[in-house]
Amino acid sequence: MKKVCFAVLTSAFLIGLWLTTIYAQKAIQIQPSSDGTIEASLIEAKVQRGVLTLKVALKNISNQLIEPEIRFGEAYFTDVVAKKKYFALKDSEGKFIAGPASYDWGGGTFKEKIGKNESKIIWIKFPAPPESTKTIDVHIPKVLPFEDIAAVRK
Amino acid sequence: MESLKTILFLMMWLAIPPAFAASSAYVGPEDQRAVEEAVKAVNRLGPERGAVPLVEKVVDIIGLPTISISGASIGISKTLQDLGAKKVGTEIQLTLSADILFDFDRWEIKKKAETVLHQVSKGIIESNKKNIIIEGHTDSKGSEAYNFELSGKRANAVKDWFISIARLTEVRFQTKGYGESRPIAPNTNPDGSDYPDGRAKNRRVEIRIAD
Repeated sequence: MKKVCFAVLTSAFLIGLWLTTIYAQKAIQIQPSSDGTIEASLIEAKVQRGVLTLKVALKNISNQLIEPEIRFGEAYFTDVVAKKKYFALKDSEGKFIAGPASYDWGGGTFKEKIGKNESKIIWIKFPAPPESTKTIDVHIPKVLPFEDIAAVRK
Repeated sequence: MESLKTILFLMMWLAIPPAFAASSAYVGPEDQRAVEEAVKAVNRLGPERGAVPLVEKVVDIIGLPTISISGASIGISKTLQDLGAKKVGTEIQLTLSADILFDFDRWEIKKKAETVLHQVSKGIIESNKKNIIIEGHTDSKGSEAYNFELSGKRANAVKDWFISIARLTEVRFQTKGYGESRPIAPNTNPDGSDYPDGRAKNRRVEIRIAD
């Protein structure tokens, strides 16, 4: 019985630590949603093997339960200096390499309930811009653009 | 037997994913399958990485005073040419109407002016030049001392905007207010009467972009 209790407590501690790490990631930039119900934090913009991965935490700052619908196909980033626009990557089945994909709509759509003061994290993979690109502007549907974002190259 | 049936029934339903749910969702960005599919997708896109060009369209805004244009020269980016910049020696010079940038007798940048200033800052970045000289000028209404002070504040306001909003932090700025001392048009008619069009031309901010 003691062993079981120890295992349960240890697991709970590790899960708690993992969740704390995820949500404590420092935001690169914070923007509100256009309807004012979400505070979106860009928490990672990392380039690896020619792929740019973006992570965005969506926090419900309204007083009620919300269920935002974000179609990954509508997300993009721009390089205003080179005047280029890049869209999310699709896999061989035509689905966007992004998540959590709650539904297949439009190649992948996030649509989950978020309680008051709760957060959910979405992620999207894009082709990395050329190395000459210093900063990008990230456009996530329903959220004001994240501007002048420097991608971290690994 | 009955409980076995129930278990089989439940297993059957659990095995069928909801028809509308994502059928092959990735676990997360570090999911090996997601990483490999992303690399393959980038390779499929080729050197251009699927980028599409951003198309710019510049239109005149009817009803606003136009930016005074002194001519455009070869060697200036299209962004600055569209703003009426000219090349003088190694410098690029640009004149903005103070009526676009500021309200009467004020030195805070107007919200409507930000589109023009964003264009200027883009042109500065494209020019690769690192020294910006901003000069404020007024018309002859008011005392010389007051106009001198107002023009200086306006030049500083433009500099502050470039630094805080356009984030031109790698550029050196110099500002100066000349008040009414350097008119580019007469402030009065030959008979001494007021010449509003001339005064409007004199109310300006000149930006010099140098190496």
